[in-house]
Amino acid sequence: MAGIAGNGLGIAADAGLDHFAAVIRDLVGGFAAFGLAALVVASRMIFGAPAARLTSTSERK
Amino acid sequence: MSGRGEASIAGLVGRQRLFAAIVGLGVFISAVNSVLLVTVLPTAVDDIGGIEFMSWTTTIYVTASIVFSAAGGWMKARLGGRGGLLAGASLFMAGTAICAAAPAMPVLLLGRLGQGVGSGLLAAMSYTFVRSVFPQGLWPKIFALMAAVWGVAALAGPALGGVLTGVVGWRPAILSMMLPALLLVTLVLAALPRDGERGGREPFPLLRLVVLASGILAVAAAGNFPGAGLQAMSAFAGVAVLALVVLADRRAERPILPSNALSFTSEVGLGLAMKWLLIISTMPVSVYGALALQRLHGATPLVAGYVVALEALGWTASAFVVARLPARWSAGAIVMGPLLVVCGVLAGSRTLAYGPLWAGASAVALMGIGFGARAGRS
Repeated sequence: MAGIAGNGLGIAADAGLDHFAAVIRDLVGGFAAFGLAALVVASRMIFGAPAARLTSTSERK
Repeated sequence: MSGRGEASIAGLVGRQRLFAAIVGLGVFISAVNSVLLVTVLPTAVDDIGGIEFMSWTTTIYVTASIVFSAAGGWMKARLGGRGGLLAGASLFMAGTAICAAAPAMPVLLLGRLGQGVGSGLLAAMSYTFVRSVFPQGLWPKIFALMAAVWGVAALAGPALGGVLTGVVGWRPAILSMMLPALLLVTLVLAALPRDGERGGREPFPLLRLVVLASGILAVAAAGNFPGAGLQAMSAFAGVAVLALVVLADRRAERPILPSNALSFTSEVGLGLAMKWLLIISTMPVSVYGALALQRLHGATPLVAGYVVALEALGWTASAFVVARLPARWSAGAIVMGPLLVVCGVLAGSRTLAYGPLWAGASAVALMGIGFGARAGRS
């Protein structure tokens, strides 16, 4: 794991695999908050505004 | 995926098939590039180092792609459809060549900038191209074809990246992206007439694009600052700058952003907000998923690439199914989409870190199924 630095990940350059796994767990899990926010927006689409009927068949990430 | 459109080019005649091939290639280049890079990057990082900049390979690419998609209208007016496609393909090829030759991560990031600019232009040109050369009745068919191309790219990208990385190395694997771009250039030169009179008298919306890029980068870079305070400040400043761009763009004579882009009372605004929130929620998996699978679970580049590509495959499959459900299922699908993504992300946080591999793969597929459920109905 030498070389894993990732300041955004908060991983030290000499961090081991256990630490890397823990950071991946926290990083991926933490971003679920944005998914929850999307769920709130989806609820607003259904209950707070007319449900969208956009034909976004080709939109992608 | 539209129920009216069929993912084939049956029914197109003569040059329409050639035009469809041009549009498909434009989408294919962007789609396969994203899944191929995911497969190749961990090996590249092993070779040239710079893992601390790994998230920037996505940040810079996505920022450049968004900004130059927004500039697509201006570019089309100034360069024409033919010129815009050629410019996009050329910039993409230049960026690809720089990535493939990169001796260090900063140079690879420069290449990603070129790829992002080219990819953004190609995406914008492809969509405007559909509207300018196909009759409106064929649009659902062409958009369905574009969605199918994403599915093909999700299948082909990891295989291409994984096999080439294993056999000849990561540099030729990246360089292989030149082939579809060269084919696109050949088709454009052969099939499209030179653009006639161009109405490009308007000034380039440089200020709005620079500020837009600054806002996106401030949000994206937040995670790279030490301490929660600085991170929050960067993210807040980015959001504030983006809000200013939207306000300024609304008053502009020629807006570069969709109308109602940030309105939470419109369908467009809500739909875009949900789409981007979901994309952000899965970003760590997109950026670090393949790396985690290879380093923590011993997956080969090919296997890791396919696991990450399961998101795109799940997306295509569920969008195809959900689009064919009766209209009364719409509300359920719109809520079920983000719910499945959240479940997939939470499951992935455990399984990508601690395994087993099949469980991590299932979590990634669940995220894609959630995306597809939303896209099929919203």
